[in-house]
Amino acid sequence: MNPEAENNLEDWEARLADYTFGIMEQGAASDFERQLSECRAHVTLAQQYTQVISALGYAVAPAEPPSDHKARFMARLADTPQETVTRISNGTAQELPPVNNVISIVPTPAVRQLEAYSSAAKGPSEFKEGGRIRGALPRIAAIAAMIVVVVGVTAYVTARLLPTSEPVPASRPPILGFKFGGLGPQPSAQASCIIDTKTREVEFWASNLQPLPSQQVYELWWLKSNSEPIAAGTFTVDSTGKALHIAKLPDDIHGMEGATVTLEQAPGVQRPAGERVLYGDYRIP
Amino acid sequence: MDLLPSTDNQLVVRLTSGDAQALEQLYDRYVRQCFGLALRMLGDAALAEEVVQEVFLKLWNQPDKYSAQKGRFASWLLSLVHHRCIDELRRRSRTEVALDDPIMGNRLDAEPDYDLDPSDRVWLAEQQRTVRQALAGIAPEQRRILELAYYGGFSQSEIADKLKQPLGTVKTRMRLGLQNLRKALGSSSLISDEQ
Repeated sequence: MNPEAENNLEDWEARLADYTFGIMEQGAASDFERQLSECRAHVTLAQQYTQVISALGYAVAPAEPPSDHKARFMARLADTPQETVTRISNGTAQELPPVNNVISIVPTPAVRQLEAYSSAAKGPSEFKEGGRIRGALPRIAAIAAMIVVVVGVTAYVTARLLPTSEPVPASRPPILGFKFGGLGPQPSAQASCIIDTKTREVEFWASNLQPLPSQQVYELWWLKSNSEPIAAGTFTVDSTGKALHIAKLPDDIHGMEGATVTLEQAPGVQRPAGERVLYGDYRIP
Repeated sequence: MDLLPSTDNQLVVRLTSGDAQALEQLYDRYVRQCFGLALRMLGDAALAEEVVQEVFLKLWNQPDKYSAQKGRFASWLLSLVHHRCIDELRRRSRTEVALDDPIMGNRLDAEPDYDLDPSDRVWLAEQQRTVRQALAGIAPEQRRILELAYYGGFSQSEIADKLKQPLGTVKTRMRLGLQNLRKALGSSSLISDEQ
């Protein structure tokens, strides 16, 4: 590297340090951000600086805030409705629609398809079970209402996970997730999926599921509108009904409508045959 | 199966659905570290309290500002506190905060405080030890510049004035300090993990 280029690099790194320490003037910081976004190597170096500088926060000994700090904070929180704003694919902010308009309590085609599989597998007695499933729908709606923001985020991941020719943004989308509600014989079962949008890996955390006798397993299925449910692996639970299962999103997530967990008599089934015990709504057009 | 408590990332996901209990858990987990940092930087307990509350409220209102690609949640949260403190320092026209002030205490190479609960804060205590050891391993003149920038909110030009050193020297020492610190932290989860 010639001396002039070296000087330029050193000068640039000095400005990067000021920027990362947060001590650059606002106007200069905005200009610098623009420069950063134009070069992937610069972004990488900035990330390294950020990691190192962020680590300095750990060096300070923790300090106990005043004893009423938490009470005051929680009171303040109670007076502060959460701003339910998220980003959609074009990067603009959008208010989420009112809760009642977001989640449909009508089973999606994929759910109906799954119920058809279950009915076929269980015969006439499934009619009663179907009633239980329908009876659980308001509960699903209540759970879904609680996670309305996640639905908005779903729209965001749709665009982010799909192939695109757009340049990679400097900041990646947040981790995403959605919740499950218990169905049928296990109404108190709960679960959530945490999705790493970079690797498509999914952490599936469940609780309040009934422990199973040997041979029986729980199986996670991805539900898509125009295809059969896609197996996402089997798991069992511990004695307290908890489980952590690692899965992957399907390669093609078009038409994704959610996920469900069935209780299967044995691992290795090709299509869901057992009772559904959990359902989570996760729609991707 | 031995299940861990909810991870930070799980709690952040719950925040996006308006789960105040998730925020409370994150508050319980990190408020001491956040308050310690704010108090260290501002030297004013009331102001530090306010900054910490603002940061957690910001987290409540904008949980999607965090992504796993930004590094560990705790690091990101501390960076929010840090930046908010920097704003405060600069707003009050930089009241000088001495690095060895008895109230501010804890110079970075001081003995770490191990008087922590053994549950959620064990990890924080380990990071504290790791970062302090790394800092102790770099040259004192480099460390001092990092301290002034990080805790005092001083730009390199201001540090040069304060220390009566050429700006070029300050720039070089800061760059080398960051590089050396990165090397020293190289194998720690703070640097190597994205999660």
